[in-house]
Amino acid sequence: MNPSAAEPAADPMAAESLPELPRQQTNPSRWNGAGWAAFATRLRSSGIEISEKRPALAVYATDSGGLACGMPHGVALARSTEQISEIMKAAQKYRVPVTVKGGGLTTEGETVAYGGLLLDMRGMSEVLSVNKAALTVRTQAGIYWHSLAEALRREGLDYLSAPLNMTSSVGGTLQVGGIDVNSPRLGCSADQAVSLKVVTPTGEIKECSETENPELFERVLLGYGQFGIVTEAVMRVRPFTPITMRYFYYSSIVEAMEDLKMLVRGDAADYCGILTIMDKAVNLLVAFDSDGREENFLRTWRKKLRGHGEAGFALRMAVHYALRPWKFQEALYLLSRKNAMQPEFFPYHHMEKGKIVDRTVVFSNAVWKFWGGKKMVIPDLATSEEKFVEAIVRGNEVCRKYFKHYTLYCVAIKLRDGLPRYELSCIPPDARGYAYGCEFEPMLGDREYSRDYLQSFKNEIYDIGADMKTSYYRFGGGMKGYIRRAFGNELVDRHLALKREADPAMVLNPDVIF
Amino acid sequence: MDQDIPAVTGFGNCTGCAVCLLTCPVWRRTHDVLMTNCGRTRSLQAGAVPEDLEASAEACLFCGACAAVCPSGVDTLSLTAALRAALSSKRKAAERRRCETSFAYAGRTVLLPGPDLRADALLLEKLALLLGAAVPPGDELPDLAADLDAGLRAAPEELRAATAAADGASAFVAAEGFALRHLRKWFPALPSKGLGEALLGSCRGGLRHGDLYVVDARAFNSDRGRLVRFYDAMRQETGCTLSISLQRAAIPAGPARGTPSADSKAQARWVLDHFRPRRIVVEAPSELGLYRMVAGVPVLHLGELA
Repeated sequence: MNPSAAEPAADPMAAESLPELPRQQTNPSRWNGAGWAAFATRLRSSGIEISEKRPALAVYATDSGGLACGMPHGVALARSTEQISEIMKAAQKYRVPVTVKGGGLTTEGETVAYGGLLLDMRGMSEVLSVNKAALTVRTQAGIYWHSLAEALRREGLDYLSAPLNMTSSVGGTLQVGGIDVNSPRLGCSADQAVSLKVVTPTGEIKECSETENPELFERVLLGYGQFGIVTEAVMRVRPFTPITMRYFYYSSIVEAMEDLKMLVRGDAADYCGILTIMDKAVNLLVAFDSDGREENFLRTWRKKLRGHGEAGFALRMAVHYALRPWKFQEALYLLSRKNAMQPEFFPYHHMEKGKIVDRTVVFSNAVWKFWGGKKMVIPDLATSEEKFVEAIVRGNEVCRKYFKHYTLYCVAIKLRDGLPRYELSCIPPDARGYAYGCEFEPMLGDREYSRDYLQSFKNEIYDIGADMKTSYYRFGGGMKGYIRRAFGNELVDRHLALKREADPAMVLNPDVIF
Repeated sequence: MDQDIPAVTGFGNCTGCAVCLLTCPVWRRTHDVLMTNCGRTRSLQAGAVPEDLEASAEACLFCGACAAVCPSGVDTLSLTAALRAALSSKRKAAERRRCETSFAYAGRTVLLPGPDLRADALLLEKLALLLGAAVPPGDELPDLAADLDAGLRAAPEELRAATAAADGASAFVAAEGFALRHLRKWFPALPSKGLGEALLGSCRGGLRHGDLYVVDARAFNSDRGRLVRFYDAMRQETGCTLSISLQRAAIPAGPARGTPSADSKAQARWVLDHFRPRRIVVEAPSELGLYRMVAGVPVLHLGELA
């Protein structure tokens, strides 16, 4: 399919683009600074501290992806809902862009400010109250998931589902999704929210939930920061339990994906997901909150899996590479990677009686140690169950074409079908019951790649999504040129109209979606 | 003091992952990333100079919790010390009593008490007895370590004199955990331990379920890979609760030396929050008074359990 043939000649979301050229990437231009001085003066007169010093601005020059760079005119640390309300009222009046940042774990520049004010939400990082009877927590939204987990642990509680990366903030996560290896059972983090306190783009302070201001609630959750700033959230929590984890190894990604789908459909495990070393060693991980669930898995599901235990897989790989001696370097890489990674998933100081007691720390440390870097590109595809395997197989081919070493990370997400929040989000419109996601992450290491090379790689992955009508987790920022191709003009125009109504000056998180 | 300013290096390896923030006591207090190691490295990467980061470098408590958890292995303490050193032209060297004589330690363990433990003569005497350790008349070695952490530079002859004065020692026990990093560098062939590790052999029998055991963060983080195992075994054996974080790093309540501030008290209260211990057992003599101020339950030094 030629995507440009189905597109309008001019992309209204990329006003600076040449009208006759179909866009696949939109690089934001820097805001011109008109009105900044008056805006800053007004805020300072209200007692709001804004730093315009270069060292303070420099901290925010890029995001986790490390490829998008921009500097704000000033930085404010979030301190209260009322302070943020003042900021947004002034931003509307002086038409100053406000970019909101929590953990900043975006990879496409979504939390990079190209001028204007950068609002660092981490200034609001306190847990406000825990209701042990109702199993809910009320927290300020800038808090890291790790800090929330630490506070909840002292109450004998734990969050439900959160990103594997513990330096994500709660507020940011609720506005993009938040996928955990328990998302096949519990859904995404956004679906754990009971209610939110939100500052609207025009500075109003509103509480919202499924019963109070439900339209706002549904727009803000998974809303990519377009319809408000979450300052506080009430979320469901659960009693803390250590987990047991098991791994099954595959040499076929198709078999592993099919087995993952089978486990998800059968609710066979409390946690499950796939993590690969290229497409050679595909690791299906399952974990359990209770011995009973694990016993049931071993009794009912283990025999149906086509994956091997570690010893069996090692034997098969030894035979495989013995017959292909010219691939010994690949074999060495797999072995060294496995030897380095395995202890990190069973660290003695986070284990007790064979169970992992701090999954949030174990997973996140491993994520940064083995997949982190100063530059990261992580294109992804989010599909319905039916399209999942084909999308991953095609994405894997693209990875092989561009990189020697890469990882695929795949999970399922349980859906509450029909929620308005899923519109124009990472949840594909055709997904029912479950959505599936896969991240394609090259191991960039110390090797230098040009931006063009990395962008071409991302485009090829995203072109699969455009062709198969899937969605993406990271469709904002530098990849926003795909939004109309993924969601269609009608839906995007409807959301654009909603955005214009909610944010007349279009100043909240510009260049993320619109 | 010599005039060679150490280069501020090592910040290039920081990926900005912010894992170090999760254990940083300054972050917990300010929630301002610029005041943390993560902020300093990111700012340096974008072209900041040491003068831009003076307040941030000064705010660091030098507990080493960030270094203990950094997935990229950034030597955060050396980086911050180098930043402080680059700014130290404004500082006056601390007045240190020069050690003029060498002591004949003749193969003995040397207990380096530091000013807080030295101020409690009874406890010092008891600990020296428990450890069978000699106690030098002055605190030159820990003072030197404190000065280096503060960014003051020691002339080679000064360092030589200080280390020569300890000639004959077979091991060191430092009551101030921050000194361990330097002792291991100065005396690589000799074992250097914190008070906790040195005393737990004889004192662990006094620990019990319901005790909150407050580790000396600087000693723990200086050799976390090894000590996390040591302390975990102790916890399982005695049933006490450890004060270390979810990341298995130790977070101090305040600066290594000096009067506890309001911030230190708030941090100590955070450490205690929800634990409701029957008793608190503290390793660092500098934290003994602080926990007695805020805890509301008996607070003992580890050595008092013997």
